[in-house]
Amino acid sequence: MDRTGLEQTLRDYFHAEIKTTEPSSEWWDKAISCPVEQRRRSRWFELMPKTRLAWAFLPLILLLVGGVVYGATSLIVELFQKYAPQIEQAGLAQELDLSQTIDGVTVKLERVYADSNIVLLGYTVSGPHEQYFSLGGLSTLDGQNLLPMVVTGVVPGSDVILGHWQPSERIAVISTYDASTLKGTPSELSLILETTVMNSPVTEVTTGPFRFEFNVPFHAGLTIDVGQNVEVDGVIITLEQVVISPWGTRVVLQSPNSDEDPLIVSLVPPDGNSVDSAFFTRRDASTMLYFTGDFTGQSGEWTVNIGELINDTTNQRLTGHWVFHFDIP
Amino acid sequence: MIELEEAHLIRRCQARDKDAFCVLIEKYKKVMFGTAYLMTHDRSLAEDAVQEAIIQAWKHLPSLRLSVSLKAWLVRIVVNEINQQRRKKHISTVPLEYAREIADDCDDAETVMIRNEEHQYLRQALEMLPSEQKEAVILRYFSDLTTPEVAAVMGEREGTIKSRLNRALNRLGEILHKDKTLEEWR
Repeated sequence: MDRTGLEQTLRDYFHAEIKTTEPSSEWWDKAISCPVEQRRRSRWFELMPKTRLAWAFLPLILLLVGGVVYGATSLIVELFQKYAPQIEQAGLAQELDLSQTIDGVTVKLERVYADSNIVLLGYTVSGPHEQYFSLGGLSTLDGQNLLPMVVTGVVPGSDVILGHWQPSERIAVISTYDASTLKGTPSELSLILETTVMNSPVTEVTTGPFRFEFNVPFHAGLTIDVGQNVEVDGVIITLEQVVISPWGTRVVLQSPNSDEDPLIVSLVPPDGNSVDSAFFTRRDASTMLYFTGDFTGQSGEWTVNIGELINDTTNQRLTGHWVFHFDIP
Repeated sequence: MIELEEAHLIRRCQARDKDAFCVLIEKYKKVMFGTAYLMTHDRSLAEDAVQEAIIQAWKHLPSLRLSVSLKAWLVRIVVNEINQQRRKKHISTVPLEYAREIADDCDDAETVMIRNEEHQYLRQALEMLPSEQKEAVILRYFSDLTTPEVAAVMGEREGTIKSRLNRALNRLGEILHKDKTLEEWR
């Protein structure tokens, strides 16, 4: 046997050797959750883009989510329960029953929620093909466009999904849109969802556009203009604004270098339960950090703690802490 | 699943994002456990090492530089854990004969035993290697690390690992050739 043959035989042997000894999926679930189970944070946004490059690929992102139990409840309700439990528990999501069929493909818009941080749309796509991909454009009736943030959901045939799901719905997703650009605080939003559906990312056969017009209650929450500067080692960070809504809290920061992302940021509301940021986005010179969970109605002192900054280009890290305190009466 | 770059997930882990951590461990769990198992030949010890490695990874991810291969970093933690366990418990690898007995006693022996004749020879041959050579071979040909990464994991110079791998392959070749010759003679 020559050296290349021996190397390949070794690879084959090792893989055969461990094939029957791998731990169960339950063991892995426990092992992975063990070091982090004490942390309190959202399970929202499995793969939220954090850089401008990633945002450019956003329309292609469809996340496959495991662990959803498929019972009598609709998939969309279960997805809301899993990824926006605070909204479901408060009974704030609104049911819709809007569907449209084009060339045998049906898009059904089932559930919606809107506040000053985010708009969530839950819909399914069914049709003759195995998989579909869809990310619609959302705008208000008066012409304000809402930027898509991420699509989270399930598709059949994925090994990520537990069990063998063979549903009539080919995808069930929650689409998330950035509501921070919305002007005003209306009691209700009039929205238009317009989407095409691809039958697969390979063939790119599209069906549509599907168009839905609907109204949804708007939960304005509370906006606090803080305007506080904290300087550490000559680096000044400004906490501009905090927006607290039933879905979560958005913290708007400004730092002198737009290449620097905040790392290890925590929010401590008056109840003292610290929560880590779930994700962040950028707009112009501002960085918006999102903390999921309902913190509405908490009065007293709030704290935002930025542990580090990391340079998006050089990966250089700058240790803080930049600590902000503000009061909500 | 359409993946975003690993670096983004690491960033999110560094910001203490549990979901990103799960995605990363999911990606490398097979290589973590496989490396531990091949080095110990003991499932429960391998599980202990991997469990502890996951805890250490979560704890130390904030200090990970993005220029470092995450896979090599995770494997290094696993190997460190095994070495620590060995120091604490004086664990040795399970002798080949014992491993065979376990396999033979098992109801599902068909699936446990490696029936491929070539693999049986290889298993015997690997057990005859010095432990540092065997570990280098596992890291290079199972964990699929580059030679510099193997060197980093084992805390050795790259040249040392190259010659160690070279010696190991030569020795394996010799043993396999000898075994086959003996088998044919019988």
